[in-house]
Amino acid sequence: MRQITQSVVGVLSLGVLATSWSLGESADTGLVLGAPTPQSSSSSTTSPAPTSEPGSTSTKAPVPSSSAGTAPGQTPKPTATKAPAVPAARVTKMSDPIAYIAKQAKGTMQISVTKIGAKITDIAIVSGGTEGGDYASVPSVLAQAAIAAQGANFGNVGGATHSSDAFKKALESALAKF
Amino acid sequence: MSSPQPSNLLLVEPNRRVRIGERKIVRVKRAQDVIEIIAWSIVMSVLVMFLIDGGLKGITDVPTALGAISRLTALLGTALLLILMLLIARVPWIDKFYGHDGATVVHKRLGKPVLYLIVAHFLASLIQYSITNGKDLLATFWWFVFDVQDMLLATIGLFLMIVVVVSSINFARRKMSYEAWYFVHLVSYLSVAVSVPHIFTSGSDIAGKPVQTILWVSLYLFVFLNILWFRVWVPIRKSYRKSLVLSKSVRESSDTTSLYLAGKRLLTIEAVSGQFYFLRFLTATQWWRPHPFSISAAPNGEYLRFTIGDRGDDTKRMQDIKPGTRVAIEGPYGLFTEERRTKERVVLIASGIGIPPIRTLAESMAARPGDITVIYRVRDEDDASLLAEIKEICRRREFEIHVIAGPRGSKNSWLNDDGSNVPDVARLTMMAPYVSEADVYICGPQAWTDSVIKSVRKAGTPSDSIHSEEYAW
Repeated sequence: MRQITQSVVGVLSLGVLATSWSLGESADTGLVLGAPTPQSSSSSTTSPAPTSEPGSTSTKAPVPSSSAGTAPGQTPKPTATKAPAVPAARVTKMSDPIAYIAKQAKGTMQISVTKIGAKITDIAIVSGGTEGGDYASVPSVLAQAAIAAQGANFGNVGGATHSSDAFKKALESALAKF
Repeated sequence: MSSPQPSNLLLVEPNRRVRIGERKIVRVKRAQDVIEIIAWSIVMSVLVMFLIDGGLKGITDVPTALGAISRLTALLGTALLLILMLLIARVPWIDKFYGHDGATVVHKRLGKPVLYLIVAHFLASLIQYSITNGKDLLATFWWFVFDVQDMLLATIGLFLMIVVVVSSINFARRKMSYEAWYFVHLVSYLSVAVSVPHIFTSGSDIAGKPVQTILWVSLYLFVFLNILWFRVWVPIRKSYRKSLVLSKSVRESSDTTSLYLAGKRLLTIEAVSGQFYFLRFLTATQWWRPHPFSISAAPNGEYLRFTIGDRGDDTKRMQDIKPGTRVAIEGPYGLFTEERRTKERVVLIASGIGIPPIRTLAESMAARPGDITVIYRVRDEDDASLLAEIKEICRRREFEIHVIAGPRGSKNSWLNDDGSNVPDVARLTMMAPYVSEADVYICGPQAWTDSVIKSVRKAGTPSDSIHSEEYAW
């Protein structure tokens, strides 16, 4: 490159890099382990359907199963409870099992999703998950993010791309069943 | 068989006119700037996407820092890798402004940095996952290779890439045969191909990110299609259409031979004087080995002629190839042509088997009598390739020719020992007094060429007017 071009390109590049760096400072870098996303304010917000919730929405924090392929004994039973006479029914659906590659072994991610009306209120991990250090909290972080985003449109957990992807696939499969 | 008699030597009509002047150089430099800016913006855009995506924001501890390093090195390494591959795709819009040799030189220079970046990417991810998973490096490595999607292939790709670079270094040091190097180099395409899946399934900067995915898919496709088109399809089509066969081989000197190729529609062949083709003789043992040879007669519609020297390797065997053998060609390549000329006067300097392009330039360059001076350096005037031809050309076109024969004067001299101890520069300016005001075309062995260039520079010729080209694979 000629000197003049080089200088122009150099200055421009520095500017562009600096700008994108500062843009990046406010970027959504996906989910960060150890700092769970704020719990979505559940049903208290403007709910599309008038909800007279029987037994309330009991958004219990989903229990991450300790590792891929745990005994299905602790599987929370998907309970399809019908709300009486109100269109906003509390319905729980089970996702298809999604095969994915987890830490140390191939795993199967299966989740159950509970909806009241059009709103996702509860997600429980049926099988699949992660283990080891910070990674143990991945499923719960993902579940909370899904509830906050009301769908699969949220960032992956850094370093747990495969688990995140499997979780999203499972979520979409479950939502498709509603 | 012997060379045609000088009196009935078939010569083409020289070019009628040539555009000269400094503006030509400026135009080439401008085009080079544009190409370099494009290459630079590819590198920049991957950096920008990494930064906008918050690539540096997430760094809080050692593993996340390693993660950022791993992503950054992968992005830069891959961007450079694609540029490196494009450089040897023999893309006309690159070769036209840098020459096949220029592009190859940059290609070679990028090899090691790309490998270092990719290895750094591999090590950074390995250590990062080893820390976060709390396992040792070896366990993490096995986990990577056997449990993570597409990572086995990517690891094989990395291994192959190391083999390719190491073999190229060995080849450059002449510890390895051309054949072995060539095979290993073909493997590099495989190494790139097998590492593609993990980029799109696991790449933190690509997987699940539509803009990035589109960018990278189009970059890969662009490079792949260029390689497929210009390195595979175009040569095959051209070879098929011209259906060249070796019609005769004629011994020119004790160690050079002219190969005459006949074929269809030779008038429409694109080569101009000074260019070269890669030739493959389609015999059972030779078909896969392309060899770069300059044309040694301006394309005349009757035959395509190459004069090759016996360098002791394949080129020796090539002189024994039977007439009738089919020949596949790739090319023409090279900028050692009149296209680069910017001055009225020209000095053509050749040594030994560097004569073919010089001979064709003397044959076809636009010039008035006296505009061109030819200097031909040979070992022995009785055993010099194409000497009679170049003399005949100079006689007919009234160019001055100096044949310099015999052993060289001193170790660094590119001329012979004439007993006078006059430095090369002085002898050059005696032979071509206007050398500082001329375009100088030099073709010969690399060390000799370098030494000529030194003299020509000393004589006052600006480097933009000095033209030389090395054969490069």
